[in-house]
Amino acid sequence: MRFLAQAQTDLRLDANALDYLLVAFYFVLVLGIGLVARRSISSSLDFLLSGRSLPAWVTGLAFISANLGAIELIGMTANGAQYGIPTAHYYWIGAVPAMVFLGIVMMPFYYGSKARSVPEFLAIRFNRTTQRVQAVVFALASLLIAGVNLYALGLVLEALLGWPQAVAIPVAALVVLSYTFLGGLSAAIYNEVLQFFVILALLIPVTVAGLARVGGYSGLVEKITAGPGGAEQLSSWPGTPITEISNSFLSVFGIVFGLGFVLSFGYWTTNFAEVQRALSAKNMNAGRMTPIIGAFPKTLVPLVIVIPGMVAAVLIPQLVTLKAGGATDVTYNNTLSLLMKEVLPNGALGVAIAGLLAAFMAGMAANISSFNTVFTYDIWQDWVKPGREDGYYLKVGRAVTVGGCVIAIFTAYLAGSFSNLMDYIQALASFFNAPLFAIFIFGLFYKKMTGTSAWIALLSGVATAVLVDLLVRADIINVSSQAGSFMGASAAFVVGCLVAFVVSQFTPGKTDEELAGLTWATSTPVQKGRGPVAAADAGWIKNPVIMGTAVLILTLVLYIIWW
Amino acid sequence: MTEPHEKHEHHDKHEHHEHHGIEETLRERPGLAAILFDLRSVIGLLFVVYGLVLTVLGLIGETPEELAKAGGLALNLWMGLSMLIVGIIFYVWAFVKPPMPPEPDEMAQIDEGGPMHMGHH
Repeated sequence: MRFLAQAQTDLRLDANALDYLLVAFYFVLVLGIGLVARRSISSSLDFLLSGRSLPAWVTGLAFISANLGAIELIGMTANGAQYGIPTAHYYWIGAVPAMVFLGIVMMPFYYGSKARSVPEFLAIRFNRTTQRVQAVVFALASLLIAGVNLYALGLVLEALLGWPQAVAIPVAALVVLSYTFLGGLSAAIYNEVLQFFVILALLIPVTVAGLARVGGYSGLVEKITAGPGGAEQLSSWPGTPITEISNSFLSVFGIVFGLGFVLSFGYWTTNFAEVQRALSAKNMNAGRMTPIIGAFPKTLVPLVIVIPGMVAAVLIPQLVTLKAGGATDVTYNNTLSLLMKEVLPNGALGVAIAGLLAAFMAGMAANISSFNTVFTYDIWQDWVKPGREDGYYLKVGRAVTVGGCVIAIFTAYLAGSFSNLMDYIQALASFFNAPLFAIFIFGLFYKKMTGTSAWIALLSGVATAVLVDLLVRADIINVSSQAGSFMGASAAFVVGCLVAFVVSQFTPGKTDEELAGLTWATSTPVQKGRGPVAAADAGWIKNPVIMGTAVLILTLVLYIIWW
Repeated sequence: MTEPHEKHEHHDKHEHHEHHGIEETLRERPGLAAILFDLRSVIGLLFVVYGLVLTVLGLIGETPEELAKAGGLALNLWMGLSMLIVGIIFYVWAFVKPPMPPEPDEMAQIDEGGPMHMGHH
């Protein structure tokens, strides 16, 4: 597309030797973490689940960082440029409530079951077949999504630094591989925390400098109001720009139930790449606090992602042209890099490039480390080769890391064959997250749900989502691909629940004793948050319910400011 | 965020595990190496180094074009100083609340949930 344009936009950043040095220093530190973390690894649990020893602030920030990958940065600044403030719905209603729900309601079941992975939890609640079906589905999904992250990284390195993709993709895979291989999940999590701060060191200066260029927030408001976006891009509700539903009521309904319930709860409560971070916390309370601590930065992050996107849309001439509907050689996906190029001097630019590379590695490392755990425990240890000594599984874990990174290089090229990366990601989410969420939530509140019904429901859900996707692609269902994934996810959820209910009537379930601590009806008072609290976890600052409420209030305040 | 209670927890464990002599000593005096390799020190190192480099860049003076880029803000200087402060805060935190080896009762918990766990089901 770039080649067709009349005056070609130069996307290369003017990085100098000092910028490269700053980036290099970051990589040295990342690899150093891997080496140091290696010294503390003595068992497969250390490697794959950090020995369940990490404090809540570490797991909480890693929880956010695992999700603050490059696709998020590039996609959400792009949405900020295109749609303005309504983009914040992806954070405020599309993440925070689900994260609080995970911490308060779901974590006691996950952590309390002592499962090491989401599939293992399914084995305990349902049966081995469900575990295996989910493990295979999840392993596949992780590798496909790791490939998307890797491909996106290749694109950016090519655009920003001029590295050819054939070099950039394997090099990036090698860096992620080295520190995950050396340090296991601890290294991945420690790097995620480091990445979190470096990503902020990218986003905050871009926001500040960008706002300074357009005359502060009031200057931004003036320019957006006068521009093609208009005033509706400055307030969150009814959110017509993102839903493309002109009826206000239906638009709000779509945001609250579509984004806020099915998609958001499906992603945040069952995605093992996220849940794994909470499972590696040092105790139940730290596990429950993990997503809630993560929710605080999640609430504030749109201020430094969406606002710079909006700034770029009024500051960068090519984006102004694009938004006005004119012909230009850039797309909204170029927003972040164009803004970095426009407002950052050398030095700050080096830090920002390190932040951008960090974001890419965060996403891929999360996919690889969770793939690792599920493959080693759920597929290898519990199924293919059970009963070996722990050292054997530690070796398998390391070998799987290498294998996963190599396969991700191939899935990266697969991802490259799709014309729109976001559509591809959304479709994958509807295939894999929604059906799992259905059996999870249904199994939690319906204790008669049986093991057989669970895996049949899971497969029916996946099949439903794939079918909807095919129908949308073939234009038999005539909606946009975004709406198509939402329909697919909803259909998968409904079909999953229905199948689980029907099959449960004809198959034997578990007794209340076997289900102790696994469903809402058979949970212990502690799981419902009514038990005695350990002295170390006393006080409001370590209370998941109080802190969860606090973050919901913070979100509400932000909604009121940008109503 | 967790500061006010850690001391308390620490104290409790003392009373609880008096027989674990070696662990106690370890917990009394975490080595300098343990502090320097703590995650907080690593974040501190990155931010102090980045902060110093950017502050020096900012002090040397930015060219008018560079100043204009950030709307007249001396971005490198401000960013450098902020990162320096954040880095120092992380170092101070790591030294004031040094990393502790895992508690004995937590190790027990890990063993229970360990790799042989599925065998019991």
